[in-house]
Amino acid sequence: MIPAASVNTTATGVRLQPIEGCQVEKEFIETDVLIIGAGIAGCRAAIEAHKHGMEVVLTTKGLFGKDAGATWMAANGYQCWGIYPNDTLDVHVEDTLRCGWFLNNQENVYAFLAHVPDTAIELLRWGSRYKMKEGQFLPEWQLGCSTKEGRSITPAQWPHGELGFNYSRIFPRLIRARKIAVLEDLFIIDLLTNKDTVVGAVGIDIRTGRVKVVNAKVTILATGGYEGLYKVTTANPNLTGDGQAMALRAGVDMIDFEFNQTLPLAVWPPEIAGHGVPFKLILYFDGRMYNSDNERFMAKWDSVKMERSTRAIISRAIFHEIKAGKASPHGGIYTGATHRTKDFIDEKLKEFERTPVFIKLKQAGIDLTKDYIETAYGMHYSQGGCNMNSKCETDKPGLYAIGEVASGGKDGADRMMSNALPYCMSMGIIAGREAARRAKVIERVEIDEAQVERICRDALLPLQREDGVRVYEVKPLLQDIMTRETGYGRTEEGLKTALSEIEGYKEEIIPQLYVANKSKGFNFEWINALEFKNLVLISECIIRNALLRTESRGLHDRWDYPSPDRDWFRNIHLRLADGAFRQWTTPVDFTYWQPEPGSLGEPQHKGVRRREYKGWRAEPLYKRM
Amino acid sequence: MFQEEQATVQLYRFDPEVDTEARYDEFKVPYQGRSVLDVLLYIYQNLDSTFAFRWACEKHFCRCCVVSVNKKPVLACMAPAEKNMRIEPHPKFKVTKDLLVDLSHSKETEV
Repeated sequence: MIPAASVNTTATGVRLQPIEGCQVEKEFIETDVLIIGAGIAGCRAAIEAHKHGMEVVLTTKGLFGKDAGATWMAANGYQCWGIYPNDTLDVHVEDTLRCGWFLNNQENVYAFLAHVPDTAIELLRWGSRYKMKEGQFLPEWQLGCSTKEGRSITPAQWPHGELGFNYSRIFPRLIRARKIAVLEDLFIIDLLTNKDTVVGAVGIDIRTGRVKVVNAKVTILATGGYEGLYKVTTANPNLTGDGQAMALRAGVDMIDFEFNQTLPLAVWPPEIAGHGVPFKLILYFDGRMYNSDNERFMAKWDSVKMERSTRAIISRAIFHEIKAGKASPHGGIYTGATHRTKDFIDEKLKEFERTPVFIKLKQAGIDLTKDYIETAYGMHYSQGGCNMNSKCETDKPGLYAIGEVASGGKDGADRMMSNALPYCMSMGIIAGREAARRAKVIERVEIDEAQVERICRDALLPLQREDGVRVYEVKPLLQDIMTRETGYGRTEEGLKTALSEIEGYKEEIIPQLYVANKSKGFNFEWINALEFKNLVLISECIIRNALLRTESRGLHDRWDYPSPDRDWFRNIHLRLADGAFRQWTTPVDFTYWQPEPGSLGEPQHKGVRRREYKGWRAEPLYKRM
Repeated sequence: MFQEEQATVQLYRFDPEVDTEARYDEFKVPYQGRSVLDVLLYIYQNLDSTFAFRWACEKHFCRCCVVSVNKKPVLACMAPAEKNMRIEPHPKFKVTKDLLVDLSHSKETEV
């Protein structure tokens, strides 16, 4: 029990009163492997660890298979090499590196992508259905793929059935069949450490307000990204960087926070604002983008691939057109397929017209044969996260990271389209196996009771304050700062202003955060307040990294340093120690590939092979199906 | 000064631990061009955060924000707000608290 009356705060002007019934009851759970986050990566790791005889606890901050996470929102991308003999692991890796402006950790890219054909077969065996032809996957071409046949396996019902929905049926069933414990509605506040080892985590059961303390031999972070930091996102806004923030507070080496992936989204008509229709037009309707001068501006950015360049280049181009004053009336550019014949568009519409967003498009009265959609861009994927090696181990013993929360430099400066889910699956396999291997040989390390008390005391503060600032007043302001200053066209001045504003949040707002709702069960306001603390921490990481990288590369676009720089084939690392950030850079190791001579890593240029990858790789699909 | 037109919302309140029967709280909120979820969030963030309901993706994927508006089951994020709304829990599921229902046995979208 925590005596609420003993709580102190350094903030001034905030009344702090113990509230009756506010002391928390604690529940202790012991397990071999704790997996935080039950999206596709977490589920796959749980299945693997369970296969190796481990006792597994899987937690999610929402309902399993429904909210909390981006997996269940996935549309249709899953790039998988080996469907055709000419599409080898090396081709897939080279494409990934080109999209990533050669900033990727090549060891990790090879290690993770090597598993991908296995994961595709696995999904098929588990009941996910794909478009097939003559017993082989019938792939779709996605941005970044250098073979003309494409390599992205597509759900059978696409566009009416989406991968995420498909997975939301499969994974809960697989997990339940294995009797793996799933703790739903458990918001993990922080990791527990003993000396340097991670020994579990402590969280709030949202349903009751009680604290659950999990002591585990191995902890796997699979919490996803921080898309909730931006006003407009295609992902789930309740992704609030909880995993990244926990890892930071535990002192883990973090990497790549300056890269936040965006993709084109509609801004007008209002019926479809925020939806990715323009991107669908580009991919499936041969759509083109124009500025207000009726100029196909992508020619300036990628004269060969035009609108089918990478997502970083498309979004940056849109930003710079808008900034140059060539915007549409509602602050976007125009996307349309009016150059195509009516027959072509009608044929394509037959495929798409029954999907929710195309129904809305019709309601908005848009006729694709003559109308354009006004297009801007929105946050899609966070590339910043834990640095880990090809076994998914972070530098803290006992802590593994997988999926979106695990960066490890796997995405470089821009993630290749449709690489996220294959990465999640293969990292799940690797981390599950490695976690089991470790859990079998190590002794359980006790948790530090005092640390649990400290974490609970901090988490309870917003509940105990009688007045102050509510999270809903300040979160939109934080989103404003981040959208304004850390989108494209970043400037030193803007970033420094943002940094000082974030300092203000840390010193003044967070110590005054309070929740008006004092109930213990289902108090989402309290959870939102705790998430807000994580968001502020992540904001600072993004700004600090963006300030340090004095070039423009991939998703990082500096107004004052508009070109890529040869000296910046480096990753920026960041560590939080004793309340202060330490940053350092490491050069990219061109172990297997290097950029073409004369190139600075731009996706338009090919790579040059330096060495062959000798590690394990899965049997290609064309030999197996 | 321009005053946005206000909707009248009757919000279902029931806490099985305290209440024996449900009651309705009334709110006046702006509604034009907003979804039912926007209206619920407006109430939650500005007027009364003590009622329980669940929301996440805001784009019809997660299917958590199931409610019933004027006796019609909808996903709050997809349904446009109306002038007069009685918002109740989805009738197919057991009520946990206020608008929250036990979704653990739902196989797929029920609306």
